[in-house]
Amino acid sequence: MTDTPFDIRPLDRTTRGQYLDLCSYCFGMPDSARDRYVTEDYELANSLGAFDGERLACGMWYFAFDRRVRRQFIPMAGVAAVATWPEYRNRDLVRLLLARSQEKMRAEGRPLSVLAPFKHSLYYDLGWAPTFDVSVLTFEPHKIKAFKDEGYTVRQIQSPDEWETFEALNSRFGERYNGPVCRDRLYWMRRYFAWDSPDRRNAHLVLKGGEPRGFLVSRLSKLSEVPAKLELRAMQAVWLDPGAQRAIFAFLRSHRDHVKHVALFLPPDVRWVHLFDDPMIETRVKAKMMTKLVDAPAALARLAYVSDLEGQVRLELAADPTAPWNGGTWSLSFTGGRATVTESKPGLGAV
Amino acid sequence: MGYRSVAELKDAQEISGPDAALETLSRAFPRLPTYIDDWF
Repeated sequence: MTDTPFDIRPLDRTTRGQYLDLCSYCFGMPDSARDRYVTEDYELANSLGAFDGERLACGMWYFAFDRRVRRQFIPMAGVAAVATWPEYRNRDLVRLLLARSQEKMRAEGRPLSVLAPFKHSLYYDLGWAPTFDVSVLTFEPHKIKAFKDEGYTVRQIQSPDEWETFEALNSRFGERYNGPVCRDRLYWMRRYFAWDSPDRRNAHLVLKGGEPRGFLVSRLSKLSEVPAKLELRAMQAVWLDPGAQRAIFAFLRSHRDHVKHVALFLPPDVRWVHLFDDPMIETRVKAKMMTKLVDAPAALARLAYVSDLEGQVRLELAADPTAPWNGGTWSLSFTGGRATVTESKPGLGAV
Repeated sequence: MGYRSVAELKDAQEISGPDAALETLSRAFPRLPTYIDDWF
């Protein structure tokens, strides 16, 4: 345990307000989000603060998600809103909190952690590495092709109780990827739909023959007053077949009279050129999130492997100051689609 | 976790070892499509 003059403890109902003030200062979190952020006891239990007396100097928390990895779900800690008041920076408080937090993640059987860094180098030093990119397409909606009617319809969400339909689509769309997370009702309601909030997003379902085949979650924001021009920011588009993908793009095209441009976020492997009459649009691949094996031996033992893989490897992992249980030499024995992971004595059992 | 292959890690000098061990790791940790939804 590192000696520190700061008191390290979870946030609670009495200190949550200080953390929200800190998030407002560091991330510009709007006042309207205060009632929706870290509201539950189990969320506060996943938080940590470094206190200088009664003053919160640095805080963070994590979402307890299950993340899809090779067709199975593994518990993951989604680290969020790591924030330090400027007067307390450069004192290693982030390192201290993340080290303590990893002890908790490990103890509760959560071997993976993901975060969206504001500064990659800080998290490289703590053992996180880039693992997720996102494609960002920015275009004028009239550049999308005029597709013929294929019998799909698009309708706005009617009730937040439809979250299960959205989650089912989200889950099926995510089957081909490593990474997507399971979202629960609270998450959909509060964070993704922002249902009871001025920041509420637009959520549209794509249907064919009454069957949900895709969705689009988006928000319109004003770029100019006169003439009124808007930006449509489409943070997630999901489709189960190419026709549903075209229906989403046709829906975006229908905004061409009042939306100046669309910013669309897509998985980096999605092909999109064929969807445009004029595909000369602005595109970029943006580094998005980083992953750490918080408990490397546990993570390696949880993964599914190809069933015909037989063999043994000795893996030497570098020392990990914030997760010291990871460093050392590990023997991985693969058989029957699983791996047995045991601590290995150097010089023994090497392959 | 699928984002980079063992061969890429080797080229970047982020992993090293005997060819046979690296071949086993390549099969154990193939490059796979990765994507995470925007959960913030």
